[in-house]
Amino acid sequence: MSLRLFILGLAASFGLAWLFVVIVPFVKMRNLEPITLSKETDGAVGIFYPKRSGRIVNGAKVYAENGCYLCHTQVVRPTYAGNDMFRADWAGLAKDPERGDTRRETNAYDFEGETFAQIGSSRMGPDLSNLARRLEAAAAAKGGGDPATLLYAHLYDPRRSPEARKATCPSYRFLFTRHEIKGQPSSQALPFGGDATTELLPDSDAKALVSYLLAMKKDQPVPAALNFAPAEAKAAAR
Amino acid sequence: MSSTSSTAELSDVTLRSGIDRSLRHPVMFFLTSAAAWLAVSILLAIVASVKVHWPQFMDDCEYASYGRVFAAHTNTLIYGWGFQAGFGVLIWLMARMSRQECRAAGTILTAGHVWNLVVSLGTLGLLDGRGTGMPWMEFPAFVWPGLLLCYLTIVVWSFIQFRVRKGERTHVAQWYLLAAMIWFPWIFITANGLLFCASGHPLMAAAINAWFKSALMFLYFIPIALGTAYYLAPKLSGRPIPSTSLARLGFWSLAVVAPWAGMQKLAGSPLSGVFLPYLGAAATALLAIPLVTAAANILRTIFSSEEKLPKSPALHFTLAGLMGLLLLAVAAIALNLPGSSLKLTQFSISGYGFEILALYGCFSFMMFGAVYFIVPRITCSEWVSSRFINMHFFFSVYGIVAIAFGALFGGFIQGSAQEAWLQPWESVTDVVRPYAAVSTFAWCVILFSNIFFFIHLAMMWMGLGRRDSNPILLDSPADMSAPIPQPNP
Amino acid sequence: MDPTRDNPLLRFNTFWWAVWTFLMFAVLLAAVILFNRKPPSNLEDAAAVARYATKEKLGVAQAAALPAAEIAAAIAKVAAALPAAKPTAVELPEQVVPGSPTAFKLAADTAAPAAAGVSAPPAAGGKNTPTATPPVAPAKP
Repeated sequence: MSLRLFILGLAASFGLAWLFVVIVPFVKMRNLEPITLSKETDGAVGIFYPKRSGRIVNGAKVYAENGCYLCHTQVVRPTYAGNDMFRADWAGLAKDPERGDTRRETNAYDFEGETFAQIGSSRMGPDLSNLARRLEAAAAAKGGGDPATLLYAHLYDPRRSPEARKATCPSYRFLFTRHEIKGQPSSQALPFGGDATTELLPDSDAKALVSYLLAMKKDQPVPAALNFAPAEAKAAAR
Repeated sequence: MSSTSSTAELSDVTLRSGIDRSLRHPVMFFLTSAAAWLAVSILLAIVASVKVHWPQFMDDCEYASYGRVFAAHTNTLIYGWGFQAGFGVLIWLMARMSRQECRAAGTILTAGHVWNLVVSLGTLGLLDGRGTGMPWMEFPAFVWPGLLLCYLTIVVWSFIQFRVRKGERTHVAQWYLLAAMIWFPWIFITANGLLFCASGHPLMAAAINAWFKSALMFLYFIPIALGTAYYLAPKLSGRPIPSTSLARLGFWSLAVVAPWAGMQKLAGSPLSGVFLPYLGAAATALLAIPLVTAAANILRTIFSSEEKLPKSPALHFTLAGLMGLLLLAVAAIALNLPGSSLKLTQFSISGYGFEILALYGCFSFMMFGAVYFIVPRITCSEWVSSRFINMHFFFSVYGIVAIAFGALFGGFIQGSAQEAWLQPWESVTDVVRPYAAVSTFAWCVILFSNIFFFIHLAMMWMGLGRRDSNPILLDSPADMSAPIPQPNP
Repeated sequence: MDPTRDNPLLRFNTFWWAVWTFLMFAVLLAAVILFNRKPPSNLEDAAAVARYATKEKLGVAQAAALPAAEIAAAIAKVAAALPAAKPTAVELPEQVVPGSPTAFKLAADTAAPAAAGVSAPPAAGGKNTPTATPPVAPAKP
């Protein structure tokens, strides 16, 4: 076999996979058509747009730089690929007071605004797709607190509360700064980490990260085309 | 007649020693530099592993935060140790098999230093919090063009040497090494180009990253390991490769199957091509074919006769690498069965175990074997202490077996705990903790084993090797009086 | 075994063949990227399509309801009619400020002709004398 033929063989065997696994899916998915809603089946008009508010771009950058994807995932797999849907509050709320069962799998439009979907490589910590829902429920259970404060507390010291004393999450103290209180305490001062003369403030990276994480609510109603719930559940929702 | 054959042999010996002399500086540079990066990577691995079961360790140091330290560990293992050890071995093997002296030693050496600089800057940037967040591509974006340029500068000469080689026949090892050399720029540029220079859907970016991880393992590191093993096995055992057609099957099945693998990491994700992850899982499982074929062929080479083999360090490490290869083949199937194990292992530590098995349990052991073979030839001296080599060998094997089995089994258990949705999440983290402790201990053992390697290599580099024509063997001194069968050089 | 096989020309050639081999897929990738330069579809732009369509419709409807050319013509016509419709000045005794010199003059004028009985010419018209034109009602606000 000559060198030329050898290289040709390599190029053909590699190129086939390169084309069909990398290039074609890449090009097709960058032109992903939005799903148009229809009044009859979806009860709304326009396109399916699970809009997230928050500092998605800046927050995703802080998330990536600090390696959060090494322990957390951001995908709720369909039931044939895993039991994520069943775990409490991972896929949405099973008993939302207004909407009932809001749980759903992740869909391709849930990563709008990011350049790299942080699907994650392992789950030392829980999945974050619906973190904001869980935090809101936790804050409400604590008597109407701010979910952002809960998240700041977790990032500052994950092992702070007795029930989380064995948490594996690293402490992100370096995203916070302790300032001296000059005159009045700052409006952004956190209710922990300070004392009589100092206050703890989140840095802009911490604020961006928390804003990004508080936008993690991926249980919006989906159009019929993306609704894979079993028929009884769909009937019950209607 | 005998005088012509002995003259021919003498001229061949002269040619080979000329090749070794021409490559002395680049190869020793790559091997020692790689060893230094290995030390760095193992230290980072230990810090990262400790933080899993003892998160308060070095808690207040921003640069030692788990997310950064773990990423630095994997990237220095790959780009610091893996590539440089690969370069040292690749350029020596290609030069020797093409019977060509190296004429670009200075260029290669310069490129090697630039590689070191770029990887250092990348690692520092990563620890400083400027990583990209893409597994195995976490170095800041300025790094990859530098690495590509250095890579091309280093390996193009081996390509030329192959082209101008004497003789028409090629050795199996040359197929694997040449293919690895050619495949790497293809996968590296594709992945980095699409992720940094083009914009697409975020899910496809993640999918291409997963493809890159698998392709780097199976289209670069494993082929280099296989090429090295195919070269060393006949040399060290004095026996020829039994079946060229099996070798051909093994090679081309790898070429055909491996580029399809990788996207199983995104199973269950809403990719447009829902079949893509399952195609990746099937391809990864099918990789068992080329891996087992090659391992069987090489093992048959080594054990093809009943004669007792000389216990050379290179042979021990090559055998260890082959065991790693077989384990990898089993794991490739066991971890990727779509209905059952893929669900469990997808987001567990088995992924890490599989990667370490490929990068260390197979590739690194083959590289150690090659180092123990090559360094005496280019320094014209022999290794000093068989005890050092034994310590390096046994503790490395223990360490890697602990990590590989620990992570692979631990991953299944972690996955089962994850799937038990009625249990609180704490039960999952509790299950992983012992395996993390095992991993820490195993990396400490591996570091301990490599200390002997570093000292030994440094001694050879500084010219403190034994001036002896007898190669070092891992037998007791009493056995060294027995006649050593000289393999055909 | 072939001594002419290794020569500088072959090496030079092989160098460029090597470069081409290594960069083969880079060239193909560059072609793919160049053919896909337009930004990837995003939902914000897709949602904006409906908004822009509504804006278009509004613009058309507004243009139909308030045609610019007709409005310009109407302005010219109204502008021409306005001076004609300008109300003329009116002078009534109630408009005269009491205590001003004009008031005294007016009082003297009304008293004098009544005493002389001579058809004296009416006081030089001035703004104080009422004229015969009927008053025009002020424009409706």
